[in-house]
Amino acid sequence: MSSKTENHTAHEAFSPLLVAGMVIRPLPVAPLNRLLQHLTAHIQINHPAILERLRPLNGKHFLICPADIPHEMRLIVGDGHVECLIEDEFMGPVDVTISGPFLSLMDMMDGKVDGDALFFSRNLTVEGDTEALLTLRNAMDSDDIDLRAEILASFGPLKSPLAAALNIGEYLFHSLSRDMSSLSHALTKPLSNRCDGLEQENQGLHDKVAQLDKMLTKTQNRLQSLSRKTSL
Amino acid sequence: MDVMNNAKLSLGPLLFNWDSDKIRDFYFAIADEAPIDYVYLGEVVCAKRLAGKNYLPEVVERLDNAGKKIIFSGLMLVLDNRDMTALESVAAMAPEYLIEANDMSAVSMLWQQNHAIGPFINIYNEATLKYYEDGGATRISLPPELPAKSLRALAKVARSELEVQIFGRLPLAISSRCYHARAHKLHKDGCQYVCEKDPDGMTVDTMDGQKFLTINGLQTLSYSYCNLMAELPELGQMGIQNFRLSPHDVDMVKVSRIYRNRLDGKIDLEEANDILEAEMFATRFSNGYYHDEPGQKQVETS
Amino acid sequence: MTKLELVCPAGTPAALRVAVDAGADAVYMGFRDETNARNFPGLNFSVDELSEALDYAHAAGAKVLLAVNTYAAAGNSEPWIKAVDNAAKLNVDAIIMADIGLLDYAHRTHPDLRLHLSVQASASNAVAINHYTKEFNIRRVVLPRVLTVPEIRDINSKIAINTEVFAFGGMCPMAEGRCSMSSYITGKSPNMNGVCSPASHVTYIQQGHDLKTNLADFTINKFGPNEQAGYPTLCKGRFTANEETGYLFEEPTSLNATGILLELMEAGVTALKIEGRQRSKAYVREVVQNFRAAIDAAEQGERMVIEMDNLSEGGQNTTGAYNKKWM
Repeated sequence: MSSKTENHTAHEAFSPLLVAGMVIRPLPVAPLNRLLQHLTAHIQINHPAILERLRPLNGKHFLICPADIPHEMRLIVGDGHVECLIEDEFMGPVDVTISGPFLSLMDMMDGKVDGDALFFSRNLTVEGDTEALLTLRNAMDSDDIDLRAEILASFGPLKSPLAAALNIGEYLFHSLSRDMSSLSHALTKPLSNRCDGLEQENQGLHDKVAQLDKMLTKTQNRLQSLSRKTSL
Repeated sequence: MDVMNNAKLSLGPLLFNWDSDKIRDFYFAIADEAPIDYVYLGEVVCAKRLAGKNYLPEVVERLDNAGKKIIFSGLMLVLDNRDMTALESVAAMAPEYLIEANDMSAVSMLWQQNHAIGPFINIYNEATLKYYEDGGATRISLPPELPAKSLRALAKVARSELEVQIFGRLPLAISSRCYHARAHKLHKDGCQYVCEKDPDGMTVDTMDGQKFLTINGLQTLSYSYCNLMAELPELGQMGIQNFRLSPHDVDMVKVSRIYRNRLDGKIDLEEANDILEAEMFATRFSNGYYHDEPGQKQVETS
Repeated sequence: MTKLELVCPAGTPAALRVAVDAGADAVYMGFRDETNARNFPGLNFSVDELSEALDYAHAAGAKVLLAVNTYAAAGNSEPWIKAVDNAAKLNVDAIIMADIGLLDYAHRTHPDLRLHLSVQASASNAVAINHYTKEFNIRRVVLPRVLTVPEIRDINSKIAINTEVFAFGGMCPMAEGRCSMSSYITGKSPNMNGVCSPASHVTYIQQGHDLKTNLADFTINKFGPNEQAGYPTLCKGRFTANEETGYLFEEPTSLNATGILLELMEAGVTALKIEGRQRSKAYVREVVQNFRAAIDAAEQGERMVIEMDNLSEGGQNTTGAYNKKWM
């Protein structure tokens, strides 16, 4: 890492806005789960073709990890239905984990930004069953979903006050999101330094093995030509 | 296994850029010593390699005198005028010689004449096989990617002689870009014929040192050497009687004898593979495609 | 000189609507099975969806081209035959094919069905193209991505049909339809299964801040913390040859021909193809809008270079084989 980046990061760690970001506390889980329930039910009714495309994913669990908000979501594909819940620690293993900035994930679901482009630029990380993830992405993209509109629509008459809340929320979120990612960067920095160290050690070992492998190949080639000569 | 006396061995076109002397010596040995019935001659990878090559008249004469049947193979990727001229000069040898088409342009030049079709023409199903047979193809070397079930289905309806590659690195891809030149930081136009440095192709490893592929100028080959020794009886039962050995910088006379002896029932499978493995020490073999697995896999047969 | 036709990808019905709305002259897609070369999970059209797509596109004056561009399997040609028959029944504007047996079938059985020769047929010279034209009355050829602009001009002077060339998206450095590298490593190939380096065999491994991509247990690439990533396609990885490690076959990059539309028109090209049926509708929207503008400008003789590095593999673009320097 260049020294310039080091300084930049150090500066971020003392940003007053960062400290302001820290007052955001995890929201209570129950109302969030109700919101997610509403939302998935609504999408399932309005976009049956998506469910059809999700059929091969029956039984798959996806963990969606927005890097900048305190909740993770678990999406479970069932037989002809999907379920979305706030993740808790007792839920067992998942097939796919997808992480990235919350708004990027939301925009990808909406079809506003290209998931591949997010991945190329390293704003998105994925782990696990790549095919399942691709199926989910393609299925979500196969119909026109506007998540913000779906959230509003799923709440019927409450619509306009909620719309205002969503807009204000998103505005705040947008303005805070940059600092949030800086925060997470600052917090994970010591760990990542340690990882980098381990990674370097690993790389050293790897190079050594590759070197040995090369020597082995050379020896094998020599033996091969020797055996050719003796057989002549 | 049943003795497969009717089975014929063929030597596919030389894929690598050897110099004229080495090529001459190689084919002289094949003519004089190898139990091979058909020999494919000609450049199939890159027309640039034809420059300065002068071995052909002597080689043809020697092979002819030895009673080998000669087939001339055409280029597999025909892009510019140089490629087209090279191909036309090969096609002009029909009908004196059987010509193997490896691009649709060659098929077109040989249409309604007797000709051969090489493994670089896509034949995946019965209707396509029939189309080429109706157009005059009498000898067809099938794509190496085909699994046993496809080979069986094609053999069932074939009117032509079908051939399958049973030995050697598998041709996997062709490009207009020269990977040998690229690996040497050269442009294709100024390639300095660097592909001649690797008589069996240049090995490509992954970043973790795994053996991956082999490059040969414009062509990409498998890293592993295909060996369908164990599959010969089943291929024979399907009705496939022509087996292609792809030339490598190893003792091809000896390699061809191993396969011939196996076909003649003179040695059993285990013995044949033991001799081959001793001859080609530390070589990775594979038979995956035949068994509907990744081509690089070696499927144990019993 | 006629105006270039803009042919756009539709992996899903939503992408089709986006492409049509953004100004596509034609949209291409495949059925949801192994009969097309983007047989990716969750993608493509059912027969009913294609029928609706035809209505939507035709109402906007756009054409619908159906890709049945893989090779029918020996002993099991039924899905391919059915795809061709369905295309004829639904009256698609053209069907894009590569397999000789299928072309022969379509030509004999549905003489009114317009046939385009897929890039997967790898017809790279006039002699080959004229053979297909004479035998099957193909009306357009999609040229392989291994030709230079002068070579394309030369081909156009010797053939009597339309040519379509790739203008944006993923780069195949190999002659298409003649590559089985994917099946050598994974068992699945473009020709037989309609996939290359399929997701089912891809694993992303996060190693600290580094990202490692594996294909069927072979390491395809490793990316440092801030390095742009690419698809885990096996010809786009970093490998070691001649004792050096790097992008041996092709860099992670996308084709972008916005800057050479005038040259392509001058070389006699009829249509431009945007690659990317596997990409999202966000990609389709942006690329189609940009190409609509670039083509309209080119019609006025103006050159309009539009960078779309944000959508490109590795965040970079190339004019590929169109410029001889690529080789």
